[in-house]
Amino acid sequence: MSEENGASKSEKLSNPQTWVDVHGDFLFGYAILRLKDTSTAEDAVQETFLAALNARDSFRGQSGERTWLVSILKNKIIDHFRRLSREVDFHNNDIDVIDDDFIASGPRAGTWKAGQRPSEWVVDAADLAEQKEFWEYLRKCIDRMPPHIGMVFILRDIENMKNEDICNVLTVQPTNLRVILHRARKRLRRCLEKIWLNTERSER
Amino acid sequence: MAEYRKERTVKKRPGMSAKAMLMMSKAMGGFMPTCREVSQLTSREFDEKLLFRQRLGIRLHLIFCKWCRLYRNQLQFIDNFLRRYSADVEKAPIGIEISLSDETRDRFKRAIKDNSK
Repeated sequence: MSEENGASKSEKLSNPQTWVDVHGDFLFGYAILRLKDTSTAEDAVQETFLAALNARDSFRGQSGERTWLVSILKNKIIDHFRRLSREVDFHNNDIDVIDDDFIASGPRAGTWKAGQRPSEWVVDAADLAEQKEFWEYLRKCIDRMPPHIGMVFILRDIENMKNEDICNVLTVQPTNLRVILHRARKRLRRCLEKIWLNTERSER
Repeated sequence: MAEYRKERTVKKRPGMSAKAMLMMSKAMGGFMPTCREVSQLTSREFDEKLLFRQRLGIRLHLIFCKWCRLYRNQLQFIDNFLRRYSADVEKAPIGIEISLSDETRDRFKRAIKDNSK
C-alpha cells in the first residue's frame, strides 16, 4: 500500500544520512502545522530522527520509511502536548460569555444572533490551490484559539485520536472534552469564514 | 465531497421563526432542539453515536433552519478535508509546505552522524 515519495521501497531503511534530505521538509511541515513555533517543530523533528536512529533495528518494513518516521513524530507531538497540558487550565470558562452565538432569552432564545449566523462558503475542495491554502489558514486559525482548545482540536480532528485517549493524555474529563471540542469546531468554522472564505454576510 | 458554490440569488429566507420553532417543539413533545443545541449535537456526532430522538430532532430542525444547515455542512466539509488528506501520509500534503533552513538541515545531519557511531 505504500506509494513511496522518493524513499526506497525495500524492507530496509535507507542510510540515516539521507533522511534529512528525503524526509526533513515533510516532517517539518507536519510538525509545524501541529506545534506552535518553528523551534519547537525543529526540535521535534530532530528528536524524531534520533529516536528513529536508536530504533532502527525494530523497523520491520510493514509500512514505508516515511510512515514509520511520521509515527515517531506523532508520539513526540503527543508527548509535547502532555507536558504542556500541565500548565494549561482546561476548566477556563471565561470565554463562555463572549463566545455565545445564540440569543440568551425571550421567544427566540437559543436561535442564532443576527451577526453570528453562518454565511455561504465559496470553496472547491477539489481545487489544488485551495487545498494548499487550507493548511495555511488552518494553522492561522488554530493560533487564534486559546492553547487548551487548540491542543484538543489538533489531537482529535487532525491527529484523529480517540476521545478517551485524549482524556488520558491531557487529563481532561470526557464531558469537558466534549465542550472544548464543540468550541474548537465553532471557532475554526468562524475563523475560516472570516479570514479565508471572506464572504459578505447575506443578512446583516 | 461537498462543494460550495455561491448562490447568487440570495433569498431572504429566515432561519426559523419563533412561531415555527414553538410549534415544532410542541409537535416533538419538547424534543425539538434549539439552534444552540443543534450546534452542540453537530459537534458531538463526530465523536459518538447520538440517540435516535437526538438525530430525529436535528433532522427536523434542519428542514426549517438554513443557518444550522450551513453550520452543519461546513463542519462536515472541514472534517472531510481533514480526514481525506490525513489518511495516507505517504502521499498527502498533510502539513504546511515549508523547507528547513540550511543551518537546521546541517545541524540535523551532524546530530545523526554523531549518534550513528
